[in-house]
Amino acid sequence: MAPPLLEIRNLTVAFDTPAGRVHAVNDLSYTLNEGETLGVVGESGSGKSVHVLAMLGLLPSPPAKILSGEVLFQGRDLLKLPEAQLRELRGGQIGMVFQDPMSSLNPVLTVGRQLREVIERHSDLRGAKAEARATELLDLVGIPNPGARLKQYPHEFSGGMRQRVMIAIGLSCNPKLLIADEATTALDVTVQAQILDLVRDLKDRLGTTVIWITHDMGVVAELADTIQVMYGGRIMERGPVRAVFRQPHSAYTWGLLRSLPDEGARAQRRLYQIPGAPPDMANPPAGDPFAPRNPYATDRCRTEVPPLRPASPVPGHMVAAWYDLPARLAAEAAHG
Amino acid sequence: MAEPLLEVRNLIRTYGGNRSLLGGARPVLHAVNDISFHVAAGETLGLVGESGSGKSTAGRVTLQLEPADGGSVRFAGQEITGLSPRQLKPVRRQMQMIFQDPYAALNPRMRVGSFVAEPLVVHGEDAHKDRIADLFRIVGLDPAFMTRYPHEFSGGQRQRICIARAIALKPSFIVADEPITALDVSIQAQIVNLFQDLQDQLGLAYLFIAHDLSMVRYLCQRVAVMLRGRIVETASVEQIFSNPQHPYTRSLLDAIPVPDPDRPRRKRLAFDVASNIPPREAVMAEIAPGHFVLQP
Repeated sequence: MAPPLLEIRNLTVAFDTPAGRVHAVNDLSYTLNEGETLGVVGESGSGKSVHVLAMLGLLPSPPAKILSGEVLFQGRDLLKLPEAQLRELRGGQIGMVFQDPMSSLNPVLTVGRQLREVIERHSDLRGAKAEARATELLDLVGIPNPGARLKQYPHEFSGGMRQRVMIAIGLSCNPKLLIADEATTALDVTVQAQILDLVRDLKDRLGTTVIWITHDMGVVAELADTIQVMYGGRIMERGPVRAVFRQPHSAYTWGLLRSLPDEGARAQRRLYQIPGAPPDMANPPAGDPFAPRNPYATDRCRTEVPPLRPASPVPGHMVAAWYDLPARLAAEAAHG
Repeated sequence: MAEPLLEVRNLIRTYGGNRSLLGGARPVLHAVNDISFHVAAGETLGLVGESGSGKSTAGRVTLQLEPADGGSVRFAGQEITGLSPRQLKPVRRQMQMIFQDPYAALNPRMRVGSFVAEPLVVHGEDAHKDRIADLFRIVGLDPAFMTRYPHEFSGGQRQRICIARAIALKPSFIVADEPITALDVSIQAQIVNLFQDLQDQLGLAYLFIAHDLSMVRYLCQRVAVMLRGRIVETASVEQIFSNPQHPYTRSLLDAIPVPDPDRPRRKRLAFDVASNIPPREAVMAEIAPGHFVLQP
């Protein structure tokens, strides 16, 4: 079997704050195979954004501190790479798209100039060839009249169009790995749908490996092969999208899926709601971080962090839980 | 039929125009362009559209937080456009607004109890601690939190505080402008359930402004779809979902990411807003009882 494209081993990231040390990512390990699309789901304090920023060397230190771990990309540990080499990778082999396209683009440079800069930095294309590639990219992400648009400044683009520019920049050098953090969250749903189509298309044509960070279970279902549900800086559940959606083994995953507004909820005029609020990472709960909100938590959940273990016979389906959720749910159903 | 609680007719709101300080002509933008809708007592109407469609402006003009440039807003049988601030004050008790960002809506230097009590004080009502404590309980907050400051609360708790303030004067109508968009996913269901509980307990009517249809389907009885300042379709939730007529409504429905990995994926048809701006002469036609579509 081919070695994984990305392997994260025991990554722990903390922030030093006036209130003390806050652990944002706790002993995180996972692998990503070439061509795989990983959908990372989580909310405030889940560590979903911090872990990718950490592995790309984009966290300011201080206050951030990588306490331990390795991030092997094609066998090289990104955490040990000199900044110059890391910069070569970012925007080259690793494309990135973040949520806020307004603050990621330079307002005083034309969009074409910014695209060309990335292309010239990471490829042999120069001058007219770089320009042609920039035009091609804008066309690829569905921006009409790309030649003329290259001469415009970011403020002349709508939010959706700017985000497409960011995606064009992220894709400009045919990255092996595309990392998108809430890249479509601020966009209109119709634009989001087009961008999801576009990314699916790129995966099919170029075999791009993708990490797509989102809070939207629908987006994960549409795009990802593997889902990774994070909470309190840890993986709560991970596995093939179908297996996890069909039978979640973490009470958090189960709660997220159950709280979606479906037909049954409309009939009952009630959504399932996960009680409580996301953890205060400055004072994280002991044990399983989701235990205080979990109706199925056991005493052990409140004291001891559960390791990731195989959840079901489906290969790669893992859960971090001391309780047996399907058994508990079945018992509940049997008792009416 | 009895008159609805809120009746908006041919509402217009423009920005820009020949009002520049230096006398230069600025183009007129019709943010809200001749829209009509109504909300019955105790009902929830979803107002859906993309950013820039005019949906938030429509909400603010409905509450007269911005003046209308044309058309009428009748609330509880009374025309409220053109009223003076003094005349509006008693009407304002009845209509409140909840915003998207509960971080920006709260005053960071005001204790949250005082923030909730403020509308009562402004309207010369009893703002005794017990009454504020009741409001805290209704929205699911511990009354002991009254003396705390906003930074001590999570996003979901802040939105509850904003809701407590909005219901303090026992309004009959609330405009909620994307009230769950900025909240964590595990908190969104809590706030949506609170909206429904309050509607059941207090008989509230809502104008629920949203950019996607999935929560609207769950929460609303009727939907109005806005595109570039116009309403292009309005119908019951059932009609909109089973028989959408306007191509823009169809593209919005098509765009909802479905949390079901077994559903086959297909490429969606792109809807180009820029080339589908509703023509000025377009009018609404009723194609089925209560189902109106903008005809080109």
